Amino acid sequence: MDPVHAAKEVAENAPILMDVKFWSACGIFGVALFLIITEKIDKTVAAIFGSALVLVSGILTYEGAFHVIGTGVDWNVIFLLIGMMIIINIMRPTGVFEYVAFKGAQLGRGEPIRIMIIFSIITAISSAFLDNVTTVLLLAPVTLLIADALEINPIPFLIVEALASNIGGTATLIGDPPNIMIASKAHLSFMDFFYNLAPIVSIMCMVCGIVLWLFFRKKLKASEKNKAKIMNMNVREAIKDPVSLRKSLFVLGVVLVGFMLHGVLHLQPSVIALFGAGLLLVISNPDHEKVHKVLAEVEWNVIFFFIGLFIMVGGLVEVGAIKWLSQQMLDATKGNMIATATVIMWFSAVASAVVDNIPYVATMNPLVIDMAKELWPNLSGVDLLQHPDLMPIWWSEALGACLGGNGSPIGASANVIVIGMAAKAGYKISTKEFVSYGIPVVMLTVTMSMIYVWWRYYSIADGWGLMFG
Amino acid sequence: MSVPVKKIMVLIENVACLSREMTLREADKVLKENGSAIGGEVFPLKGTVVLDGENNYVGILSMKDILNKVIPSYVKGNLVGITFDDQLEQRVARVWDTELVEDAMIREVVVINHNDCIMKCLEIMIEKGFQRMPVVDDADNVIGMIYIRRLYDYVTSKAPVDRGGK
Repeated sequence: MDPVHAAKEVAENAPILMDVKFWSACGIFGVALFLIITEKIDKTVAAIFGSALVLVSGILTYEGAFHVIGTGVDWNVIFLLIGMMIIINIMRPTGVFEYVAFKGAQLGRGEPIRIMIIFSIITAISSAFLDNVTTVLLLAPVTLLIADALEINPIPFLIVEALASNIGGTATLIGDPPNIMIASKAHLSFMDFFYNLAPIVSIMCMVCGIVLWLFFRKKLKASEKNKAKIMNMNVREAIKDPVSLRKSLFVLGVVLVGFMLHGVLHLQPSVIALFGAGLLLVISNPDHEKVHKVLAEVEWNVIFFFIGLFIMVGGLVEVGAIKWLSQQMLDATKGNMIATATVIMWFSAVASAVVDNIPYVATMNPLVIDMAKELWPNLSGVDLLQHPDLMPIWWSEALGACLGGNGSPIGASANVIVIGMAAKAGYKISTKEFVSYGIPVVMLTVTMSMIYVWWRYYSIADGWGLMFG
Repeated sequence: MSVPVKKIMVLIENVACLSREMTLREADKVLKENGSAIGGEVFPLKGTVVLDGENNYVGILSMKDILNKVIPSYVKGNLVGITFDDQLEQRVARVWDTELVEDAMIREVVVINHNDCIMKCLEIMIEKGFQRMPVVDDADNVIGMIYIRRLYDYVTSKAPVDRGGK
C-alpha cells in the first residue's frame, strides 16, 4: 500500500479523540444550529460566522475547507444551484409559468376542484425540474388572482401547492437541495434519481390527487358567473417576452437532456447547469444592466448559507464527531440494513419538519459514508458509496428529508413563501391550519415511501417483521 | 436673507387632516370634500397628514396609498394586465369599509421645521418627490403644511420682470 493511503487508513482507524477541538467543533455547530432553528439571527449570518470560527480556530484548515472533498465545501452543489438560479432568473420575467398556470385554470373550465388538482400537478412537475421556491413564488399570485375571480378562499389551494412542490421536488436530482447534496456525495446521476424516486413520487401524486378530489369536491364551489370570468381572462397578457421565452425553453430543454446524459458524458450536474446558464446568457445577449440584475437576483444568501454549513460540518467530520455518530447508529441498528433504512427515513422526515432539511442532510451524508466505511472497510470510492446495500439508505434519506418538509410551516422554504404571500394578500394561514393538511400528507407519503423501499430493495415480509416483531 | 418655510405654509387650522381610525371610505370623503376646482372640475385633495388624538403627526396618506390598497399585493410583474369582469368593483368593495387609514398610510413622515429656509424645503421635496410636507415647530408639533404648488408659486414669483422683446 502506498504511504498516502497507508496514512489515510491509519487516520481513519484512529480512535476518536474527544479533545478541545472535538468539543469546539460540536459547540460551534450546535450553537449555529440553535440560532438557525430559532431564527434568533439570520441563518446565513449564523452559518458564515460559524464557519469562520471553525477556520480561525484551526479545527479545519484552509485546504480542508476549500479543496478536500470529504471535509470541504461541495462546489458541485454550489455551482449547480448558481447555474439553475441564473437560468430561472432569465426565464421568470418571460411569464411562461403564469401562462401555463392560467391555461391550466381554463383547462379546468374554472371548476375549483379541477383547478386545485391541475395546479398541484403543475407545481409538482415544475418543482421536479426547477426549484420549489421559484415554483410557488410564481404560482401563488396566479392562485390568489384565480381565487379572487372565483370568490373562493385561496388558502386550501396555496397549502396544497406548497405540499405538492415538496413532493414533486423529491422525484429528481435537481428537484430539491437534499437530493442535490446526496447526489453529489454519493456520485449518483440524474437518471439514478429518476429511476429510483420518480416512480414512487408519481404514485404519491396520484394518490394525493384522489384524496384531494374526495375531500374538496363538495367544499369548493364557484358560481357559473365566476367560472366564466376565468374563461374570459386574457391570459396571453402573461407572456411578456415571447422571444426570451423561446430561448429560455430551448436552453432548459438542452439542460434537461444534459442532466439525463450527464452520467454517460461523465460531467457533473454543476457543469451542465453552468453551461446552460452561460448559453442562455449568451443567446439572450442582455445589456450590462440586465446582466447585473440577473446575477444580483441569484440567492446569494442561500449560497453562502450552504458554504458556511459545509465548512461547519467539515469541522465535525475532521474531529471525528460524525464517525462517532455513525458508530452509535450502527450499534443501535446492529447493522440491520432494512432497520437502518427505515429509521433513517422516518428520522429524516421528522428532522426535516422541525429543522431546515439542508443542515440535516449536510450532517447526515458524511454519517452515512462513515457508516459504510465501518461496514465495508475494504471498499472505497464509488464501490463504497454505491454499494448495493447502501443504495436504499440514500433513497430513504432523500425521501424522508424531502417529504418531511411538509410537516410544518417552517419545514420547507416553499411553505414559508406561501404563508408569507397569503398573509400579504390578507389571508392568514395559522400553524394549526397548515399542519392539519401537512401532517396527514407526511404520514401518507412517508408510509408509502417506506413500503416502496421495502418492496423494491428488501421484501415486504422483512419490513412487516421489522415493524411488528 | 433666507425666507423661512413658515412664511408660505398653510396653517394647520386650514388643512383637512385625517385620523388613523378612519376607513378608506371616510378618508376618500375628506379628500373629495377638500379638493380644488380647476377649469370647472373639482379635483380631490391629493393627500394630507394623518394625526392622532393629540394632534401629533403619525403618517401621511395620499391618493396613491389608497390606490395601493385597492390593487392586491400579488398583482405585479407578469400578472399586470390579466383582468376579469368586476375585478375593480370587487377589490374596492373588499377594502373600502374594512381597511383603515393607518393600514394604508406612510408612517415614515419627513417633516420640515418652520424656521428652515425655503431652499432646504425645495431640495428635500424635489429629491424625494414629495407633493406636500408637514411643517413642525421646535417642539415637533404640526403647525402647518407646505405644498409643492405654493413653493412653485413662490419661486416663480422671483422671476425677472418680462421687459418684452427677445
